[in-house]
Amino acid sequence: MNSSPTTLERPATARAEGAAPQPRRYFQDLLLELQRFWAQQGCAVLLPYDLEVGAGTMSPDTFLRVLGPAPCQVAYLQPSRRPTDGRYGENPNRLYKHTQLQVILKPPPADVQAVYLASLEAIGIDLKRHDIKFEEDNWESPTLGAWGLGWQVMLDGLEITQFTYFQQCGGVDLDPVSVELTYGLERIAAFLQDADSIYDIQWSPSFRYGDVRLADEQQMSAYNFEAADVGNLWKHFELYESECRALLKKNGDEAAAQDPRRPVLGAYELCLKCSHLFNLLDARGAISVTERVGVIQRVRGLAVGVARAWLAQHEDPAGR
Amino acid sequence: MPALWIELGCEELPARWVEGLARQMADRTAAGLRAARLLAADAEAEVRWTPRRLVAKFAAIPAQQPGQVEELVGPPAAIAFAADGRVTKQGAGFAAKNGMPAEALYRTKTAKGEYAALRRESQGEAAATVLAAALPGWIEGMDLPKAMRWDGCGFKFVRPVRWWSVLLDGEVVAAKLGGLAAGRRTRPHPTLGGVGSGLAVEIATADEAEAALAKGFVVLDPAERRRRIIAGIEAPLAGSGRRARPDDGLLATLVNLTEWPAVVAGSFDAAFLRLPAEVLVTVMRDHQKYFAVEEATDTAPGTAKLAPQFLAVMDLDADRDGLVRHGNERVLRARFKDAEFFWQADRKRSLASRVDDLRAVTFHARLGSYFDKTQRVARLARELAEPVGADAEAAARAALLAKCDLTTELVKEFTELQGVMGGLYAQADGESEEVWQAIYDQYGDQPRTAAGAALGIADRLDTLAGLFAAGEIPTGSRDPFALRRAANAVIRICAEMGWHLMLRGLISEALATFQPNPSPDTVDALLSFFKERQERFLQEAGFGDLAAAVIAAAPDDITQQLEHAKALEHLRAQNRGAFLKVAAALKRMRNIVHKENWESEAVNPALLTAPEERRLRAAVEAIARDRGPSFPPLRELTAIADLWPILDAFFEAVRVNDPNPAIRANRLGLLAWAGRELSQVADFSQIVIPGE
Repeated sequence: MNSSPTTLERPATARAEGAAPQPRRYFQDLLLELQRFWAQQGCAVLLPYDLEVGAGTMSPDTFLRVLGPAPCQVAYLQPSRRPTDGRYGENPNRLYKHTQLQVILKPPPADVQAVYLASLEAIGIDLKRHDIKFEEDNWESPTLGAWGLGWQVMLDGLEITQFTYFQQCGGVDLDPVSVELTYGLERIAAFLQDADSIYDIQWSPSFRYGDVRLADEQQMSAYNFEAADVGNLWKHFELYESECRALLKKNGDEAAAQDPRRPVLGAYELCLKCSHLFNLLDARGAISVTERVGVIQRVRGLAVGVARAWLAQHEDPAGR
Repeated sequence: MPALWIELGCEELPARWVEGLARQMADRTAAGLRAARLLAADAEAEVRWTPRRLVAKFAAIPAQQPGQVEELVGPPAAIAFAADGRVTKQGAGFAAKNGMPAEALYRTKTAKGEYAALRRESQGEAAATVLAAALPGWIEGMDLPKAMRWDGCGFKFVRPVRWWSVLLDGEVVAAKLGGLAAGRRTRPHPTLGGVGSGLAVEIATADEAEAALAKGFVVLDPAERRRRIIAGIEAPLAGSGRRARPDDGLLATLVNLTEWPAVVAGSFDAAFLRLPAEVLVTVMRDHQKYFAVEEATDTAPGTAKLAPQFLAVMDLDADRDGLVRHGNERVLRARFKDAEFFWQADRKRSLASRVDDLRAVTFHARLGSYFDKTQRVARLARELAEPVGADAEAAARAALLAKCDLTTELVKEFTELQGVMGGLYAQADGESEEVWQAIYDQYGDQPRTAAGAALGIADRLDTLAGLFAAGEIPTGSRDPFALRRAANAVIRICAEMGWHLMLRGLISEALATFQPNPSPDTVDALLSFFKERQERFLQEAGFGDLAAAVIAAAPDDITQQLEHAKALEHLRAQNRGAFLKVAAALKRMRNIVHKENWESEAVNPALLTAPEERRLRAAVEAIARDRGPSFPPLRELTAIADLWPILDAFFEAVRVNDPNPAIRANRLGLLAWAGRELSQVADFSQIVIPGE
């Protein structure tokens, strides 16, 4: 416990002079307070998805719920894995796996920006003492066939949230549009605690972030960059891909397409597996730039197929 | 006359577009008002904007459209009126259709003859009524760089539109935009004005709107925000011997990112100054939108040594507790640490050891990897450098290493530093100055060294040849690989270096690596692509009307084109009369030869019967004989200009179309030969003569 990673410099953390003393806000407080805030706004607080995903967007609670007309207000935490971002725990600002709070507001309320700003106040950020800017940042996920327009929200020069009006997902135009808010929780926590390294964030009174996660970063970076067997990764990719394709193949009529037992979610899990394997292959340097586009297309093909199948399954003949 | 205030309130519009959008809204509104007779032809809107609002204000527009008398022209008079002058059925029908009695019809003369007409006087509507009906359409008709939806209203815009205020003096104009009714409420600064959408500022009258917003912490006028930022930048450095690095692009971005800007000065650990200044400035300027600070010495701004300080612009009134400064310093420190980590990691391997890694980096799907490109460019750079006396070894070495920085962590993170980082790593590896500077300068068009110029030209020629061979030829506004810019740079570097490079040969050589037997079509396509760029280059150099003449004389060699254009311009300035006469005579010469499709230049002296022909031949022969290194273009041109009496006399006395076919052929041959000989510096026949 409390073993500081020796590879890190420990800069003196000096609170700005004259700053009002603030109660210590642990990482876990941040997770709890943000979820509570959005629950109070009417969101259902769901669970993180239990597969490897690169972002909260890939959870079916975003990817599938933004499709179609049904309103949806949800919030959930999502550990997100990005193999190429791993730094063996040696870089104080980069993680292979970081934690997002994902909020989906469909349709978004007209005062969605004000509600978002209120969420920052809820975690102790005094908006009259900090510089907040909404800077243009348009988001696109080629593997998901998804894009949107919005901003990166900057807090004293630090990007803390992606704020996106989703326009398309799985290649399908969205109507109604959803707002997706993605908070980068480690960054916010480091800001609130004035920690110069993510690993120094106090997770709880007894755990630091490094205590909880450093081994994960060290070992998974080694796995992602060095140990993962490229041949096997490709085999897994092809197996998952072909199974996903088989599941998505049209079997029978409209009734079959609308059968609630049709395993579209199963197909989506296989698609997510492919997406993660693609990221692993990328981290292993096994995908040339030329191949890249082709592999992205393959994953995207699966995602688009899932989105269509999901819509067909949930099409309401009564038009409700 | 009442003032008109129009404000479109949005969630943060992209900084790069907000000014253009504001101007477009104002222009479209002004045009609409003029068409509705509500704005004088010379009156303009005051245009204002912030990231969250586009504003057009008109100081005074009439409350009422002026009345108007229109003439409605109907059927021809012969149809509308009977012979006895009474209104016919058709005439009465036209009047009835327009709601007027038949007696109102009168005759009017038009260009097409006499017609029946009606005069309609209209009162003109209230400006508020016209605006309520038309203003939404003016806004909906804006040309948007990228549009989005945010709710079901069907109206699309660059970012969600959340409110709009439209006031004619104190009255709200009842206009609706996608279900959003205009009102008198606007919104203050999103955080300083209080948090929450319910907070609103009431605007009493159009003239008071700007002041009302100022109370809500909104500086509506971008020029005023700019002044505040500039003052804020200067204040903390006053007397420190330091200055902010001037950066107009960054300043404009920050003006368009803030509603209530103020500057906060921060500092960073001077130890980071060991990193290349290029990296530090990129992090500060491009990633954090900070102004870098430099030690003010007697060097030009932007070149002095960096100071461990930065200036951030916040959208906040003041940093009372130092929290904003502290936060920005934290972020910058993290960014610098990242950069330092990458710099050190990259330095563990030399650039030269990375050449092989380029095999895995694709240049273009059909043109192979960067490794392949590097090999081609090294060969081309060497061949190009030798004849012009540049250091061919250095050029080839630089070409070999030029793309290796693509495999470095730092360039993966800061892609905009590609080339520059390669140069810095090469310098750190101990490569010669000629080599590292060449790599550093490869993407600019002002390389410091001859090797850099050779590399810059070879790299771009390879790209141009490869992409043309792959069929990726720019069309119209589509130029995804920026090939026009590449060709412009080749031309500019050649001219700057004063190099006489033979374009056709180089292009064929560059193409030969992609096509074993370069197709003449591709060579021609590239040459004509270059010709357009040359014209543009000469035009920008101030020789627009001479470009065609000098390009025709030396299509391969931009340096020669430029020298010849200068000589030609000089001649024209010195002796305009002779210049014009010679140009006219040579044009006549060319026309005769072209008309006959004459190709032979065979001249039999025995058949030159007229003394004027013999004199012409002797004069041209003298010029051809004198041509050589000791006969600069201006002297040749002057000699040609001096020929005008001989040319005039020839056309005066000699009939080319002689009845004797042998004499006729001899004269055509003489003209073809003389025309070519006299067009070596400039093809005079391509010069447009004023008044022609």
